[in-house]
Amino acid sequence: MTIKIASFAIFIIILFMVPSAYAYDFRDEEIWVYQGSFDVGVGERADTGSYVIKIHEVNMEGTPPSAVLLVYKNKVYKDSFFVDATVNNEQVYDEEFRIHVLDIVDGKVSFEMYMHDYERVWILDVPKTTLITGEELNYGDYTFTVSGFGEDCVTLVMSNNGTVTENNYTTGDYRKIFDEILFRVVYINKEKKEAFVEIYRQGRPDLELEIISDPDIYNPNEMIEYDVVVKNNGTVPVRGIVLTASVSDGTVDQSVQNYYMIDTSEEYTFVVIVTPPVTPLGTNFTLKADVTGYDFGGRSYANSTSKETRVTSYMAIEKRLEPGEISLNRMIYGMQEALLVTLSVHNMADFQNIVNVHDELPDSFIPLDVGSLEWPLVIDADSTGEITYKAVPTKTGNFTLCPATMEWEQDLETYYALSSDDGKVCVHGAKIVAEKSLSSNVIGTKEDVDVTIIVTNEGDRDAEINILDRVPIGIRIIGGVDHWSGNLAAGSSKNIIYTIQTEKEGEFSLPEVKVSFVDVDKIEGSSLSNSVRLYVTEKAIQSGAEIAVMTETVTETGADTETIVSTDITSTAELTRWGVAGFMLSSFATLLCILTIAPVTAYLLISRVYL
Amino acid sequence: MDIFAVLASLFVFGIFTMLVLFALIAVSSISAVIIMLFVPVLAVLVMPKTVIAFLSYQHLLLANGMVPINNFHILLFIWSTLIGIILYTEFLTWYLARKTGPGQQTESEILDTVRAAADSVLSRIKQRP
Repeated sequence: MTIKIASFAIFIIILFMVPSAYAYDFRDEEIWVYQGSFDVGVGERADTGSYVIKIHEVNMEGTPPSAVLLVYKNKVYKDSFFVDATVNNEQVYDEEFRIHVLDIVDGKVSFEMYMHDYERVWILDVPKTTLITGEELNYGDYTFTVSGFGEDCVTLVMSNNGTVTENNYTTGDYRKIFDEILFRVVYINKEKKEAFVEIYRQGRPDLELEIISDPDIYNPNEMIEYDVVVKNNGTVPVRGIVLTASVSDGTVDQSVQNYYMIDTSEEYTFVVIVTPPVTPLGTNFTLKADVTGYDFGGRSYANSTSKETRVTSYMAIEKRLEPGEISLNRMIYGMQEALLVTLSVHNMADFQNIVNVHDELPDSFIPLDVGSLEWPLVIDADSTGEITYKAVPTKTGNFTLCPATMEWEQDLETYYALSSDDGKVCVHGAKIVAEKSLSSNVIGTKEDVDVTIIVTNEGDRDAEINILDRVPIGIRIIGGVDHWSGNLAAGSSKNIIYTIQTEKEGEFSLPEVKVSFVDVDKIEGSSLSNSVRLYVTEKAIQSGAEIAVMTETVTETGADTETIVSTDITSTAELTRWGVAGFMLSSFATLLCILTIAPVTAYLLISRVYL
Repeated sequence: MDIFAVLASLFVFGIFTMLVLFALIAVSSISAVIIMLFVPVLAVLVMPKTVIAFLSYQHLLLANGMVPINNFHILLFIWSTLIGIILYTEFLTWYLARKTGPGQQTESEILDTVRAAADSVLSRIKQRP
């Protein structure tokens, strides 16, 4: 018993698994299914999937022109046919493949191909609807009315544009009306006098088109690959699909492409390769795709779409900064750590170009080993030129470097391009600046003068600093201290004041203060202050005298990266009204005396000789 | 160089020079000297800041910056020029107005000489055919 049940179950399963490929379905029709229209020459081929047609030869000399076609099925040669456009324009192979030649012109054969097959033609449009006696069902120009029920049938009256037809239907009966619709009675409920009916119509393909490209911006020297996706959203397969691609600028590699069939709810992707246009300013161009396909009856369906794509200029400049973070005081092989700037100039055109590249740095960066940040450059076709230079920072902080610019000429026009990204650089570290000054640059002997040392950490890292000053021989410290050690936080200052005195007249140069430091990153450095001059006279200078004191300021960081020299001329005494008046009187008297010499001498000579 | 400062200096020194020359011609040499000396000195005493600022205004630097030229220098140039004019005016006036020496002709002798010369010329003219 168990074996019987199991055998029955296996039989049922096998029954369901075997497709009813050859089972007749009222929705299918045995027709010559249109496979597509082709225009091929000698050596070319037309593909319908299982069948391939190759043109063996074309005889244009004969009247009418003729050709020999080779038929391949599943890549195996099967037969050859002599065709022309008149009496031999129809050829059938194996009762399932038909060729219909339309014309033979210019060495090309135009023909249509058909496959004899069962094709799903009728598609349900009005689902199962219940009708009782007298009830109407309207479908377009058609009206179906139940006039009555027989023993096993139902009587339906169909009216269409004044034509009235009455027919009896049993369960499962259907009728095709003008090849437009198929009316079917699904089931008749005799007890309730109800008829369940369905209406079918011929299916049709529906082509949906989409163009896909990954980025929207391309360089002019790269081929652009578009995926043109054709989807059949219709109810029957579409065959003989032809895709035509065109661009508003540039060139398409293969403007016409074919595919034999797209089933319902299936899609096929055509790959369209475009060579973009080459322009100095970059441009937008449009790819237009037109697709045409045919249903089983040879009716054509079409759709089109377009996509805009941006192509950059054929010249491009790129600016790279390394590293992104720099320590102000770190030494690498005896040199201060520097920012490496790399400018890459790309010429994507197929001709040589001469460009002028210009770059700018923030004020706090000093370029190394370059006279100016301008470079003329010759870039060969489809190649890249590179400029590299180094710059050292003098301040801490976050800096945004402006883009590099490039200038070139074409056809007497000047074009410019900027590097795309602004570079960002972060400079860290302690920046120790020391300044030394005197309360007076001119003093008398045994007169006190205060020396002030101001040490400022202008960086963004705390530092342990050590200040050590010294005085020249002949000067002694009579108050305060000339050294200090401790922590100096970022942004803070430390002042040291001490008093000196000397008994010796003359000019003294008080040397630079050396400040050595170690920041929190354990990076060491040192800084020097300016030097100052002290003039010592016998007595203190009185008001009214004119003395110019020159102060030379020299500031050096530990890495010898910055040297600033400034000279100030300061008048230490003011002009008074009496001083000026005295000066004017004495000047006048002097001039008078000098100018009087000549006439007085002449007067004396004349008086002595003639009088 | 500030063109307005140059024009202002030219104007002031021009007025000053004209005033001195007018005094020299219309009044006397002594008055010209007094005006020449005391006008600037009094101006300094009355308006020290303004006048000192004016006089110390630097117009240009000569010899690669080694020789500055300011209004003080220009005042001294004008003084020396005007002093020279006044002195030589006085000297020439004295020279031209001094008494004749023992070796020179008197006025009547000069007139007689001139008359004789004129008669000689007239007689020669009459002798012509």
